[in-house]
Amino acid sequence: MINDLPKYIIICLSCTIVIEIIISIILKVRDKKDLINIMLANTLTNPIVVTIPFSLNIFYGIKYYYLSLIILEILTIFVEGLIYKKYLKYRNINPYILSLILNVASYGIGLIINRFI
Amino acid sequence: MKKRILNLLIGIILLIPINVKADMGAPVIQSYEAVVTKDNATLYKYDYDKEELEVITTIPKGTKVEVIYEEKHNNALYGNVVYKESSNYLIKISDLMLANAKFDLNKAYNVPKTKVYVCSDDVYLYNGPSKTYSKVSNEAIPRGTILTYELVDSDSEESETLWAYTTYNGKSGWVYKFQAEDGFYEGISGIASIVTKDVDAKALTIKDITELREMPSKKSKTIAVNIPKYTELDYQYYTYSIYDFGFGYVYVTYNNISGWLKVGEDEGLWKERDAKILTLNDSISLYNDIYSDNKEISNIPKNSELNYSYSYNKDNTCWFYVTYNNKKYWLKAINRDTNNDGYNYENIAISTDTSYYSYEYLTINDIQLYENESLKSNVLTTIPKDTKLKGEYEYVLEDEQGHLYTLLYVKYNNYQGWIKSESHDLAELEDNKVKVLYDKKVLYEKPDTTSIIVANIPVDTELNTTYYYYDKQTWYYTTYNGKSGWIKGDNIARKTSGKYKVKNNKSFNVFEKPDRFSNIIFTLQEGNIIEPTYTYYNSNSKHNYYYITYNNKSGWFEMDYDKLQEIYNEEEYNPNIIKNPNNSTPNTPNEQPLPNINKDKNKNSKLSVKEIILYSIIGAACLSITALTTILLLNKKKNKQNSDNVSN
Repeated sequence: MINDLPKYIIICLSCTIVIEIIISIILKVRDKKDLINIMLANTLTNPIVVTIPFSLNIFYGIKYYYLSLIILEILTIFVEGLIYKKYLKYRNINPYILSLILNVASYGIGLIINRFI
Repeated sequence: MKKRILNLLIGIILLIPINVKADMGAPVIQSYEAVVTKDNATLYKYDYDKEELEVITTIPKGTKVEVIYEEKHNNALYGNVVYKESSNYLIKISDLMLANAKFDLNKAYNVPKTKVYVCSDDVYLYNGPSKTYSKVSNEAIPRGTILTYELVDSDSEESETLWAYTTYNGKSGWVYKFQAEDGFYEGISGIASIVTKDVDAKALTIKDITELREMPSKKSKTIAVNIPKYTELDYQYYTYSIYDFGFGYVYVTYNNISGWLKVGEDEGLWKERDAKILTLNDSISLYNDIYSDNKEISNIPKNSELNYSYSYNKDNTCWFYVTYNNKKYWLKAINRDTNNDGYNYENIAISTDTSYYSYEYLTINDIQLYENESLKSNVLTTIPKDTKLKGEYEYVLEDEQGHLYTLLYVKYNNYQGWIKSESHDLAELEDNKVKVLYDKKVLYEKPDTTSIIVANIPVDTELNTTYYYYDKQTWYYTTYNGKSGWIKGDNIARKTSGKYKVKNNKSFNVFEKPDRFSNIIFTLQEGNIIEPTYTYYNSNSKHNYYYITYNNKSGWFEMDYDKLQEIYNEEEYNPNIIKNPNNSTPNTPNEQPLPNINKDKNKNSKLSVKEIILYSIIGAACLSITALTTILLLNKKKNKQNSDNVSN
């Protein structure tokens, strides 16, 4: 499993981008640059959210995994919200709410996928 | 864009089965890849009805096949191969060339450190566990050499593995454990086992022996000797057929002459476990010689108990070498052979010492004790339920309708007699430790859910169980808080033992419950040594889970021998044999140290766990920085464009 960490990071990032882009399109984000910004925002946050809890789990146990995951997910919503506020043309939904929706959706769908792998 | 997203999605979906497949277990027998070297090589299938090879098709030169195992037909070696996803095709090994010149030692299996004795002149080191691999050297390992090995070619029983990885004269390779000149069918080893401390290594000659063999083979040169029949001899080394465990050779010394004696056939017998015979009537006679009908002693009294340690089967007769009034005799018994268990003789019963089962029971119901080995004989008494009994002799009875019953000879109070061995009347002794999983357990008075509830046992309680009972479901007899009773066998983990090490470059998750969908508690890394305490078979996921405590954290992991290697205690050899090899041994035993495979693996190991994590974090940070820079650049450009548009 540990040897697969780099592969795991790539798979998680790819899945997150795919899911969030699909959800964004469903939420009527149509501008190409907006979609690219969403993709880049995820590329900024997701590898860190995946790597740090994973590493803490290995060295300090599952409690630290969950604790760091919660903190990082909240930070992610905030950072992505900030990026969306600053750079997205899309204004149908509050950028922070959009970030929350996208992250909750990708995390939830990710959990479902994990259950079947 | 939509098309790109779709392609990405397809790519991810395709990745999933690759990951799942990578985690699947290895085959039981090590396979290897080979390439067909002959133009239009013939592919056969074996017809089991006609007992001959049937030509199926031809395959072109250069075709890659996977050889699952090797088998011999008409004195030629064939590879049992997978071709076009179909298995059980046969192709001549001589028509194949290995795809890889050397066998990957990571695919080998650990066994306890074992010493063996080279007993023939044609033992060579090969580059892999098959004769298809090239020889490491054309020099045969000299007869008399003692080799040591810890790796074998398959994870089946050690006695069934065919190849062992060893080192001789600084060169390492695989030796075939069954390669003497007698050939594949007889299966006599070119490598002999060395007697360990727990083996009572004795053999008995059953005819006058005039010659011993230099090698354990019928074609071997012989050495003149004069050993009278019925002489008991100690042996140092032994070897046996993989197809017939009753037949083999032992290395004996008599009057300073050493050589190989054939045992299990007409020359000699292996010593068996000490056991007893109970005579069931007065018709039993004793003989001095198995080749003569002259009775030495007639009419041994009924219920006599005679010790024996050798037996010799000939046609339907079995001869037991017994002690009677401190003298040795042969007891002749007719083998009824009605159930092929080998312990079904006329007029005698064999003690249960011969079996590995305890034959100790707890009665579940009241049962009758019969005077003789017949259900029509007098009932001596009724043994009440909850009585502890030991079956001392076993006798198979066939009634008039042809039904077979097993009767057990037991002692109860002042009575001695026979009980019918019925599974619903008897619980078997089986000391064990169990752990209650998932939910509380109900302790019943009897192995019956309608009986009185004695207590409720909370989840995670560890219990000692003493008896095992099966009647539609499994039950265990246990004591909890001073109250005894029965618990159902479901959702119970059983005590296990063993020591394992996580293989190099392997790691796996330890779960909160014996279920892969439960929370991951921690991850075991390469080199971690674990000692599981309980095992549980999860029938939903069809996996065996093992419970461990490691660094004060406990959890369950799925057993996977691809990731774990078992750590064994070393076998204890008879020190006299190792230190003082027999003078007649052609070459001085030359023990070769085995290279430390694990150290080599560490040297070759790519990255440590910390390094992988560090590089992953650096990689993740680089990705994030790149993304951030791209966002800034992209939007700076956009803002510039916007401001240009405004100024225009």
